[in-house]
This record gives sequence, structure tokens and C-alpha cells, in this order.
Amino acid sequence: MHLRYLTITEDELEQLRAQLDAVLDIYRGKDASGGFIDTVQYTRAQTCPDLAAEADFEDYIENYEQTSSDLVFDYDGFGSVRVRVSLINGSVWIRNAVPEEIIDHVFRAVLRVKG
Amino acid sequence: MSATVTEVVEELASEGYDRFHASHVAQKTHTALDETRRTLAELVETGALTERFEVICSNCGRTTQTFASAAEVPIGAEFECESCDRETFTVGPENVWISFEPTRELLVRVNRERGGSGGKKGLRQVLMTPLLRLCKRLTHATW
Repeated sequence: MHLRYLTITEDELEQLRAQLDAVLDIYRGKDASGGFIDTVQYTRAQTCPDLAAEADFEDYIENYEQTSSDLVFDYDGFGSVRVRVSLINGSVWIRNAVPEEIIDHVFRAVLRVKG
Repeated sequence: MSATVTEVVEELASEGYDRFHASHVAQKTHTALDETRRTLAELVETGALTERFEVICSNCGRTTQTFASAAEVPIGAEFECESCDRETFTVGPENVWISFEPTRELLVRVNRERGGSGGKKGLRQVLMTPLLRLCKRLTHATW
């Protein structure tokens, strides 16, 4: 049996973020313009509700291709959940210890996005 | 009016950029990525650009090694990432990102056409890049 990675595109990541009602907490990108920087990581300040909602954020990431992101959302009755999504290999990594119910919640959101 | 892919490539070359991705060119030209890739592939065939195959770490996205041809990329091999405390990953197609480098021929032509304006960096690159590559090869040579 041959296994292959199911990739996630930037658009699908945005859809997943909407499905989970999550905020963009950490952005990781790789330079696409051939400059002296290879990769960058931008983290959300405590005063910022969502990196993706900041008007100036597009300027910061203009020359980068997104490689992975940390999405953070609140799950009712549990609290904050951090999910790291890789656009390199399509991995979805729940970074904190969560009950099975939340794993299913995230998995269902991914299935809705991927169709 | 948006610049064409070729115009953007020549501009990047004249400004001294020694490699770039298709997505960057597509963004600058407001062209679909697939169409940009096709044009860049044509530029590779005409000798204006060369392709480089970068193996990027699955975890942090940094380039771990670059190969001159797709055939050289060791798909299935275990690679180590120095940035990730030497954690290893298995090289798959998703780890291979293609970048494009202006060739010496393109740099010379662009610098000649543009009369050297803004091309000093590019002209230096024309002279230095082969020398730098030779130095790198000598540094990594085992005796």
C-alpha cells in the first residue's frame, strides 16, 4: 500500500482557520525573492487579537511563502487549543494535550476543508 | 500595466538577486502560478535561467541542501536539519522546492542592455559567482 501526504494550500489553511474560528498566532514563511533571509517567524503580540486581521501584516509577508502556521482557538469547556499546520507536508499537529473530542473537532474541520 | 514574467526575471537579475521562486515572480506579474512556471521553464530551456532543487526541512522550512538537477535529489533519504537540533526527516517530493537562478548569459545581456545602471551588483555577480562556487567546491572537497 503506497501512502502519500495530503497537502494543505494557503487557501485551505485560511478555510481551516475559519472552520475552527481560530486566530493566526504564529506565521512561518520562506523567502521567495532570493534575498539574504531564508525563513522568518512572526508571532502575535499580546495586544494583537489576530495576525491575519492586521492590515499591515500583508506587507510583512509579501516576499515569503508560508511554510507553517500556529492557529489558536478556544474550545468550549476546555480552553485554548494550539494547532500547527504545515504547508510543507500537510501535517496538522495539535500542540497541547487535548481530549479525543477536540481531536475529532479538528479532524472534522480538516475533512470539511479538503472535501 | 503588469510586467511580463521575462521582464521581472530580467529586473531581478539586474538587481543582483541570485535566486528566486516562481511564486515571487507570479506575485510581481499578477500572473497565475502555473503560467509563471511554464514561462520560467521556457527561460530555463533558452538558457536564461537554471533550476536549483532545494531540500527543505519538514519542520522549520529551512533549506538543508541544494541540488543542480531533480535526478540528484535523494528521495526517501533521511536528512538532518541543523536548525532543528539535528532532527531528521525523510525527503519526499513535498520537501523539494524549485528555485531559479539567472545564468551568466542573462546577466551579461541584461547588464549590456541596461548600460550598467543598477547592474553593478549583477556584473559583480557575473564575475564572482563562478569563483565563489569554485571556492565552495574546494572547501567541501575531501582529500
